[in-house]
Amino acid sequence: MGQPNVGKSTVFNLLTGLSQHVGNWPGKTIEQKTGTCQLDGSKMELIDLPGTYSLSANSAEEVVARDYIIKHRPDVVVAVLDAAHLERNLYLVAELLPLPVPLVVGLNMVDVAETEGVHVDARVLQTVLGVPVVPMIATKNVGVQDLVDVIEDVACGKIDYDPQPPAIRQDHLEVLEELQTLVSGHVPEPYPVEWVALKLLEGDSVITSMMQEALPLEIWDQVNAILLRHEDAIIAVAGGRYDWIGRVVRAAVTRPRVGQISLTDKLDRVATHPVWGLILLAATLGLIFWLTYALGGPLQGLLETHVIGTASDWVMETLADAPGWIADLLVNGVIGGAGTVITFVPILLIFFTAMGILEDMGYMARGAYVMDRFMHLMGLHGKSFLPLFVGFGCNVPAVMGTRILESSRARLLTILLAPLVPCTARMAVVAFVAPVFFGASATAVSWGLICLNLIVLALSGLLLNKLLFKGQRVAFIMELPLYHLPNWRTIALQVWQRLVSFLKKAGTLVLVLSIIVWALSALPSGDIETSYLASFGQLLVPLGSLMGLGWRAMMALLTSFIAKENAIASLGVLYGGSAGGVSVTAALAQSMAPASALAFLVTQMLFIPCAATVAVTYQETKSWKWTVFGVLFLFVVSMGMGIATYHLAQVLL
Amino acid sequence: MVPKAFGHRRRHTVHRAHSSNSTRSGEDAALRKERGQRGDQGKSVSLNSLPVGHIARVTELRGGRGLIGRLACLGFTPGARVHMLQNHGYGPLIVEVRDVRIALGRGEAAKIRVQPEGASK
Repeated sequence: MGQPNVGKSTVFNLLTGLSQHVGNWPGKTIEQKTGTCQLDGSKMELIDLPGTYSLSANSAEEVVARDYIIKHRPDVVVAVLDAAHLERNLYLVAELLPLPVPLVVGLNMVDVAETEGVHVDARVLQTVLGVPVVPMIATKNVGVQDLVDVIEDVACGKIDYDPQPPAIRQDHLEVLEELQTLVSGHVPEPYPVEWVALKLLEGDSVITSMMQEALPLEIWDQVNAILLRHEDAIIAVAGGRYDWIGRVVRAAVTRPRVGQISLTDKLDRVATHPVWGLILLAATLGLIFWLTYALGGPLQGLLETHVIGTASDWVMETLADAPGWIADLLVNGVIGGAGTVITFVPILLIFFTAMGILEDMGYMARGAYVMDRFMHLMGLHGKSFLPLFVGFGCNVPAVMGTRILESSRARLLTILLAPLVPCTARMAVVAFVAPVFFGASATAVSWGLICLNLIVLALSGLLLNKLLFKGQRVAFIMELPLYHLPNWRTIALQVWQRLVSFLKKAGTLVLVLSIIVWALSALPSGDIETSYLASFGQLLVPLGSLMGLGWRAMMALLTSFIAKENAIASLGVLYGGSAGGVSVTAALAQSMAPASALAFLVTQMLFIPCAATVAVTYQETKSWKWTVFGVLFLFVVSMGMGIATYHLAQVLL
Repeated sequence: MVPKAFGHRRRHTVHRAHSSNSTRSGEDAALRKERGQRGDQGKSVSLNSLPVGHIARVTELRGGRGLIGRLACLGFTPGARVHMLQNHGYGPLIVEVRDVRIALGRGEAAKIRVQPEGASK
């Protein structure tokens, strides 16, 4: 357990390493990490609870965390604290101490604290709290073994355990006791009575509904009357906890002279400045993009020739005697499909690493801060900016990344908007088609398309927020952690996990659908022009003709549903085979007017998300209604914009 | 007699002495009234209007229960000291409370009433 930014994941990673398993809490979209720790002969099962500031009912993460502790009664709860921010961190400890599970405090980031001049006396802290306190520097693997030893000792009952939880402020003590008397005897197992009474006073929505069910009506009326008289009691409860924290901190912490300007403040002068901050952000993001394509592009090319190409050749050779369709299936269906997914790995690797570094350093919080002004016009939180930015790499982790948003409404809106962020796959299609029609101005066209997507994103956000959510706003409260040097281990593990989830989700789905599409294009006659797929393309022709696009272009659009880059392959197949002797690009250039090509690109950029993104959208929203809505919305928007572009381009070009 | 003596004292050391007392929600009415009559130093203002570099103490939270619950958990309780780090008059602002830097939207900051204590050294 721990508040955000305390290095909890670093500790968890150190203890569990690669034995980590990332999943979901049952029935929820909150990530759950479990693992085993085998250090020095002892074996422990560890579960990483979501990082939360407190244990209220304000967010699903907090409820999940406290339900686990209360209902599953782990042997030990380890609370990771940041020594440099002890005052605020102790709030969570104040909430944990009254719970009936042994607590061990891991006092992390002692080195950062010392640099800031903050010295925490762990022994004093231990005495005052009544629970073991283990100083650590997780990033340097210091103190972790001690932590493991202490956990074991507590679990085996070897340590004298005497927690000293905070008491409520005097003015509310009577009310609390009154509530306690009223509810005792009716509190469902395994909830502790005192804790329930306190939560009722706090106005905890989950506990209040629980007790409303559990209490006989006349007792509930009394309880309710008390609660109504003390609606602001949460302030007294929080205040009481902070009073206690104040005493603990005064005993255990020595501070430097107040008023020192830390490095973080100096950097933030620029990073959070309304103008300079934005410029810095744009420059940083530009750098990430440049790096991604400058390094990733060549790597991608290498992968294509040496891995994909070699594999295809090998298959063709080995199956030269087998029926043609097997080789065709393997080369075009399997290798073609899975292969294109694999070629994205270098790009994603660099992109995710760069983003991971910025996040770990603490800069991303500033990015969210600077972008909040724009995000909140769309009813989004500044933090929505982070998953949306990940979408430039791939929409799949972008949709999954919306988990960091606390409000489910903001999460839904961000998920709906994420596919409008142009991912590398869509950009690949543009990179293929644009030079054919626009030659030297292809780069300008590409930039224009990206900007168009972002404008549509902003307008869609405004529109959807007004229509669906009545223009509600999300509260903007965000902690800005201290800047610190990135921890390579944490970043590497995170990049690894993101890549693996991309490969698993996008990869398997793309593979399966590639085979299906291949089948549709090969049946019933073996000739793509008369296949089932072609019939689907014909269905879209009426729409396509509004943009000057024929059935082949519409089919390419359709196949982009599987994976955006399939559009390239489809265009190749459809146009390559038609006029003998002419190259694909020439055939393409002859087949449509530049205005139509532009319309095609616009439609493609705004088109429905790829199958993997749709799959992840369903997984994150758990609602077919919203998933289908998202797809339809994008279909309408892309077609509409495509048609509009066509007519506009005809006038201008 | 009280107003005159009170007014006399005001010019000297009263406000300095009081600003070092911590504000408690259970404080007695006389103290509160005294503070209220002290002119600028006694008025509680919205956190939004605290200039950069100034320090203040939280006096109350006004708003929906969910929001004030969250603010209170993060450290914005009556008596807590806040230090304004960034405030451009528009857009979100950054305050330091209980050693942590927190960015707040203007709407959220408006719900926190504070009592200014002057600029930090």
